[in-house]
Amino acid sequence: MLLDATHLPEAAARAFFRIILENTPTYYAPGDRYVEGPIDGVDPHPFDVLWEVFSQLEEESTEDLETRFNATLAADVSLSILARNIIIVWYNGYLGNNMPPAEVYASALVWQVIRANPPGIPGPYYGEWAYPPSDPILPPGHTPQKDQHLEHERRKRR
Amino acid sequence: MSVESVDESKTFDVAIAGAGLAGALIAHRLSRAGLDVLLIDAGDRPYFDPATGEDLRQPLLDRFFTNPVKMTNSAFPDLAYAPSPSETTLNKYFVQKGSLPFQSTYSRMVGGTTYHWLGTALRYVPNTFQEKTVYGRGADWPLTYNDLEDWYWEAEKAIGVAGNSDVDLGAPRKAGQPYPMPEILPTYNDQKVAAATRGLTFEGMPVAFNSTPQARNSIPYQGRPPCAGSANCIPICPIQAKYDASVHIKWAMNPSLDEGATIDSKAVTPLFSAVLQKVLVDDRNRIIGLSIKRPDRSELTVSARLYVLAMHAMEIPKVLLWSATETLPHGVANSSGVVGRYLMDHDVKITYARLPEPYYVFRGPLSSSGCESLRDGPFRKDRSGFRIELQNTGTSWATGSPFSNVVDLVNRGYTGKKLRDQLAWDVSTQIELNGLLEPEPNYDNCIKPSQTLFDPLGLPRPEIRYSISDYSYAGAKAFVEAAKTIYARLGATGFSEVPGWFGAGHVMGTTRMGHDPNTSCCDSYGRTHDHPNLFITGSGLFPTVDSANPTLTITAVALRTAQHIVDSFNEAPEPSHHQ
Repeated sequence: MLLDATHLPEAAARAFFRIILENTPTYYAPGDRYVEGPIDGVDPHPFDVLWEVFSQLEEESTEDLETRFNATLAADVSLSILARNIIIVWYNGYLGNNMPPAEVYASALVWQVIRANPPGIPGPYYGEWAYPPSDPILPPGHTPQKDQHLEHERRKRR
Repeated sequence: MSVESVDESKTFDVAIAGAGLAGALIAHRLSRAGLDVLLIDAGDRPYFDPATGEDLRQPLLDRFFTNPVKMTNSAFPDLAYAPSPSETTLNKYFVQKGSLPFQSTYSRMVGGTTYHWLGTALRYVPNTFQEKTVYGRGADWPLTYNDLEDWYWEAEKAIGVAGNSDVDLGAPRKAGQPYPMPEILPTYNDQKVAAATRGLTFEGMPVAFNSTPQARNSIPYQGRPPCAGSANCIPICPIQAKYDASVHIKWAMNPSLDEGATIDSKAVTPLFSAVLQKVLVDDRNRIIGLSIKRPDRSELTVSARLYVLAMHAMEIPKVLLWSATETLPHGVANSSGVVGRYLMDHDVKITYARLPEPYYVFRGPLSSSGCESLRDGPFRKDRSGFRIELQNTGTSWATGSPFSNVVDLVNRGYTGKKLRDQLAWDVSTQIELNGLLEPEPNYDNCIKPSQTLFDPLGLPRPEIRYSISDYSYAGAKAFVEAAKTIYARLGATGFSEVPGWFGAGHVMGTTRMGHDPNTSCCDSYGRTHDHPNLFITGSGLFPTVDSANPTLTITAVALRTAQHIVDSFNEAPEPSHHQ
């Protein structure tokens, strides 16, 4: 949901999850400040807490789940960093200096979003760049016009 | 593969130090002529199979994919015994003593910096060869454009340049000498900018955006595929659509892979993991050997009848100066005192803005269009010329796009669809115009071997003094004004100029050619004035330049030199400039 994507590739998921776990902020846990990291088995791991928060909100079936989730996270220093790291690692394919294996390089979401070829992966074909992509990028908030001609055709056939 | 070692009692015909672009071209031409050539390189291995010619660049790609820093050398191993400079660790190798850091890098590997170059293949304009006479700036070459014109065409065929022969980019082309390949199809970005700037002028000159002649296949060539839009020319093309010197090294090492091989073709002897430390000279000023150091610190001396230094414009003068002896206190080939002097780069000024609609980014080559129409003119008496490079990669150089855009939006609280839509829009509406400024050769800009700081093999690190002249500062001001008028035509907003300067990767001037042995290091063939059996190659030879990338000129000069060397072995009379 935070990524607005479905069917995320599993190899990438594993690699990115590892990076997230290695970089989970643990100086702060919900409500408390820890000088050393959380104690296994005693203190809640931020990732588990994040999942609990999400599950709770989902159960409540609130209409704008995303907005409520973000609002809840924003109030929590540790959880908001964790959530941001998750999004960043999925979009950029890395976090800081933490690099996943080469095989998942092309899974970074940013390239699909900007309609680009992940640099270094062999490109689509000669000349592909001469035309705008088939699914153009619209200004944010722009709702695409219904295709007037198609609408008319549909009505005619009824 | 490389030989383990070489018989020190053997005298080759030619020993070439450096298997980069110039070394590879010359090795190949000499091997075709049947000469017995030793090809030496610091690099530890070729990234192809010499037996079959199969390209083996996957390890380089994997290194790039897993490197958190995606800069010019990010795909390449940094050899402990032969460090290469890099943008992130400039001071690990370069010793910067000047008012400005010298920012350009190169790759010490078999095939050299052509692995990571962009591929731009422009000719210098005629006035550049006589810049002193025409504009009172720089220095005249001991060559005119006419002398080099046929060699430029040979160069375009040798490295495979795609371009439009009907477009005048300031350097005349002879009829019957077309580019070997049609121009690379302009990107959507290119077309939008070209259309919007039609009729635009700056200081009375047209601002014309055209497809850049580039060593990038638009059709299959030399057994390599056409460009597929991998958007990664720098640091490495995954499919070798962009020329790199392994093409010629491969043919030189194994003539059976070379369709143009002759019955005389003789495979070169490759000696890799071999760093040149000194050039040895006898008391009659003849070069008698090259002292080589290996990664295990063992040494050997190789000898030949004739020697060619092709290790790059930074390393060549370093070695020549380091080779000083009691009888040659100023270094080898340096009675003129110019070795290591007149160090030049194309200083780059980066500007960017926001477009009103997407031109789309990271599609096609990193740059496939530019403006060449502002490089030359009477203004060069007072300020430098520049070329404008239109990037197809948004503001990746200026701002670290698209990664920085992701981080920025996420930190501002964007998630989900809002993030996706805003990110797509913000990145695809980026435009970046870079100005490559013509440098003015300055005696005080120099490279010397450090006397106090050494690399892991005990060889001196390059000590560099660099500054940018008022001539180029004035040119940069003009570039920024020109860029603003272009952005205005595009309806772009949010004009930004990145503070400071960047390096273009063009190291030039450090072993300048000339007629006069008092003011130059070598003649137009690169034959040093002081030592008749020593040749130098590469952009270090250039006494002055315009703002065009140097590689095509390196190629033309190297091919001309190769022919000269072949002729001198055949004891032929001085050849005409037709091959």
